[in-house]
Amino acid sequence: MPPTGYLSTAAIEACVQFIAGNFPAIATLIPLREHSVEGRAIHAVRIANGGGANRRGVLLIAGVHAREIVNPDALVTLALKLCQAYTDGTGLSFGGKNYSAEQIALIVDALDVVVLPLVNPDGRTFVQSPAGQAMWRKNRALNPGQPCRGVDLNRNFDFLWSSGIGTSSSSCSDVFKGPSAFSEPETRNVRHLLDDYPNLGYFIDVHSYSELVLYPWGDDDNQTTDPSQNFQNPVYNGQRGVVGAGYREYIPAFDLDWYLITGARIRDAIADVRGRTYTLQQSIGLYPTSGTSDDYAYSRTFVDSQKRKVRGFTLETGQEFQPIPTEGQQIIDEVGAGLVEFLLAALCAVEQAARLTDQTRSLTGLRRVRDRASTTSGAARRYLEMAERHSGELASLLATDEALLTDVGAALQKLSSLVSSPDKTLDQKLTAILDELGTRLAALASDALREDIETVQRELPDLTGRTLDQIVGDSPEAAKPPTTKGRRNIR
Amino acid sequence: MAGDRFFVTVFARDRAALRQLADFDLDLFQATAQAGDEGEEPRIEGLLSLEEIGRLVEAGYRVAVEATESSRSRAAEQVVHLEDFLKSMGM
Repeated sequence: MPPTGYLSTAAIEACVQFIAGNFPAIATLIPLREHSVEGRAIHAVRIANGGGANRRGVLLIAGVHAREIVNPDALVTLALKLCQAYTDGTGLSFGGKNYSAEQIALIVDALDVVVLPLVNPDGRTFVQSPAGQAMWRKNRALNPGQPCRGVDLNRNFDFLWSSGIGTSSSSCSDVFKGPSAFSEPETRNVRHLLDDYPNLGYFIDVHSYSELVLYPWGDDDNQTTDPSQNFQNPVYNGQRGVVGAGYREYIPAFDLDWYLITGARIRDAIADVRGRTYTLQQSIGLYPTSGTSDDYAYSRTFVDSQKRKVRGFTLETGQEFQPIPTEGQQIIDEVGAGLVEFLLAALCAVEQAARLTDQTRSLTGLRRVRDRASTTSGAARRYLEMAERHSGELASLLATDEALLTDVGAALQKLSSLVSSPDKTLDQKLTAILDELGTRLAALASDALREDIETVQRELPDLTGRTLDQIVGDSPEAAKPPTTKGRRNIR
Repeated sequence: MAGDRFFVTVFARDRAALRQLADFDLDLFQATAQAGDEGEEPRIEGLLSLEEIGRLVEAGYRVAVEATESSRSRAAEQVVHLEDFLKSMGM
């Protein structure tokens, strides 16, 4: 029997502690550095089998807005189910969407999944109190010297905070941005997590409502061609978020592609649960905003290139803030499916193969190549996009075929020698190895993955004899589509 | 207090008018904003008092009242505690 209501603040906190206490091999309690405004301790839980700097990290948060009652329940349910399924060696089902035991094992073995189900415990307590207000949105900050309580936490992050775009300086407003960026302990806790776990590279903030999957930016329309039009450039102050001002926010094309590919995966997974099709769209919608969590998380690497890129989404779940509990349970399933799909998308088949075949020393060089390729328009970028599109499936295939994994590891070692020797070219022997691996993968793959593998295989002969620089670089040679002339089927 | 506000849909004559709603500093749910297909009015949902509804109507907006605040306030009904939750999860 599913629950017939929504978890109390205390129950959410107790559940996080229960998960850490009952699954000690894979779940670790994370006490957040700061208590809430009213003094409540807040905990996250890290779910992972193993550790180390080479693991990708994913941060999932909810309960930023107090009245959006379903989402903290959804996150603790997912955390609990993930731990239980991994421990029992079973898969997970969310309505009509199923994930295999292998996929669940892959997630817990390869990723650090950090779950913070309730960012704003004071707000939720007020919402659930008979003496409170069910539709309260903000935290419970006292705002000394001002007439009203509370700061909108999702306008308090340090992304264009001082711009005032889509925010208010009035304490009585529901979008009161607070006296300064990160003035609130609840938002600082999210920043601390991103600082303290520098391997976090993926982020979702779950909100309600409107059945949306939102990607950055929120301050203005996106563009991919003019890097100078960006949120840090003071020349454009006053033009952002203004219709017709001509300003549009720069987002690298590769990132935008990733958001569109991954967002579609999340949307489709949610739709498989019971047929509700969420809309994938840019955060700005019709109203520009600033100070939001997903824009802040994504912006960090642009402000400080030493910080890891954190790709973030916002989910807007359901069709009202506080649905009847039976509907709430369906939404909890939708969130579960969407987030598991996101976790699969965060997997990297190359990192997985390197980790499992003791090739992790190759990763630093390969990551450099990946980062460079992502900024070009050459063939390598298309291959990266293919890998992103099929990350979960590729990682699953490697996890279930030991011989294939071993051979991919050996190929990675050979590829990394190209990284360390810039004059070395991709020779026919390595091309043949890659082609053979492609054929073996394709035989196990879905139609979509097989199609992409076959595309790469067709292009391999044109890459033979080139250095990595030439393959990755943006030279006309690298960028041009492969010609029919001289192409041969090397299978 | 709860009975004083209403869940509403606010209709604007065009997108510009919909955007101008931000100037009213009301509890309008940005994620629900829709530009509207051809022939449809742009709209947004929100939670407003009678006085706020009056201000919008006076400014030329159409406001459809959907429900009272209390009828959609379920956070405090049947609050679930840990033991019941774990039992429901089979633990």
